[in-house]
Amino acid sequence: MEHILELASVGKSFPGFTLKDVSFSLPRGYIMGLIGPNGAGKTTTIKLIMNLLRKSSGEIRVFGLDHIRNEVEIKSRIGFVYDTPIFYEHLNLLQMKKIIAPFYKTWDDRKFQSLIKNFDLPPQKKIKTLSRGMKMKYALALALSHDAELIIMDEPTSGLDPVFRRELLDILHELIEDEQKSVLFSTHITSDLERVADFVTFINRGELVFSASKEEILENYRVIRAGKNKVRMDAGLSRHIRGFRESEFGIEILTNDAAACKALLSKGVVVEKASLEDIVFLTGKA
Amino acid sequence: MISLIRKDFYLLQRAMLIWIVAYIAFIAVNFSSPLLKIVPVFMVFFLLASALAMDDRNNLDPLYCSLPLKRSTIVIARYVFSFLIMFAGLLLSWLASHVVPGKPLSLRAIFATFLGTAFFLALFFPLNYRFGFRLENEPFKILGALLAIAAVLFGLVTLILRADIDFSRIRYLEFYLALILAGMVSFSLLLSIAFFRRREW
Repeated sequence: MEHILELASVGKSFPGFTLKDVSFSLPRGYIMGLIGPNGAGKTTTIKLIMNLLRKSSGEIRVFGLDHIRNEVEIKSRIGFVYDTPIFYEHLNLLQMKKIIAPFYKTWDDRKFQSLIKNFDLPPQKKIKTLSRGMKMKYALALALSHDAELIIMDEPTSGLDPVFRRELLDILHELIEDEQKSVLFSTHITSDLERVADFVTFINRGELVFSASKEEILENYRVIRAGKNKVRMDAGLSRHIRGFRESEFGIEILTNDAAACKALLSKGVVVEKASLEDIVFLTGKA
Repeated sequence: MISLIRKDFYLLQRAMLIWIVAYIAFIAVNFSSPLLKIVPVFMVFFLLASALAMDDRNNLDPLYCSLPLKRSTIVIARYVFSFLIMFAGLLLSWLASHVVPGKPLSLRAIFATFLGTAFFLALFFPLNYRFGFRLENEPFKILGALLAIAAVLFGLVTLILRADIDFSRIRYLEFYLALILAGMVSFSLLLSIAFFRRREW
């Protein structure tokens, strides 16, 4: 399987925050969701890939190339969408396009016009008058008009209404149909991932929790619910716990080894498949 | 790089047009102030500040750094753009000085203005790429103070020159000044590239 993006032990230190040893890879033709709570390190990871932040350690390869040595070539094949799209706000959509287009050798103006039309964007309208959803669509139209092989989007769905969100996710899904393009997008909305992602990479407090296919994750993780008196926490049990929450109604245990965990618990516990939201929520509590 | 320079001209075309039309209009009504001769030099500073402020206000640097461009290219393009508008401004000043009443600007005066403007740019750009273009930033306050001192020194030097020194006796002065300044601009460019490469967003 050809990997379009590979991160190996990537780290970055800031005062008060450290991203540690993040490693994952994205195969060509798939969508990967980068998930984690606010401040987990998702945007930092994306900025490191784009070389907007300088990594402290590790290696990043895009299209098999070093992301710094081959920066120009790599960026000509990437479509990047910021969480808050950056444009000259006083320009209209066509004027802004006139500024961006010359930087790409593979710019396809006909494709841009058709995307603008498909996304119902008003070409003569000033960017400052557009809603966040429309700006996001416009940014995506720019990113797709130069035949990018990898689309990287930072929190594209946050702050969008459900209709726009659904529309955007459908667009991402259509994108990968030719099996040549890949998408990496960060989000803290787990339902977005459940809808479109093939792979999920979970980062929490600057550390990689897991990076695997969505099926594999949903297949392996379980939530065990039990009354407080049903569980005696010891080293044997702790080894299998990935997340834990105690409330007045009982406890919830997140595990990726349900069989071993269940054997260590007394009868009367309930084992359920974990949703991505359970995984993110309970891991965050651990 | 050409796309970056063209982009700056494209973004500033309206401002440039307004400046030029207003300038021609002033000349047309025979506005004979000697200051009119150096108005295009102010235009250069205004346009450069507008370009930088526009990018800064919209936080455009990360956008350009995500395009297929080397960071050094982005910096070099800004220098080239600044020098291009400086040449255009000086040419306009020189032409205007032949139209408005009074003594026209000598080529030597034009050259001195060129050196002065280039000196300012050589100081300004590394600060801009190190700290971002914010006039309230400490380095820009310092630069403002330096410029004020430079203006006072310039005034004093002019007075001294007028008093008793025959400036023309100092042979090759312009050549040496230009040489020093070329070195300064080159160093400034390298410094700006180094600062911009280290910037993170």
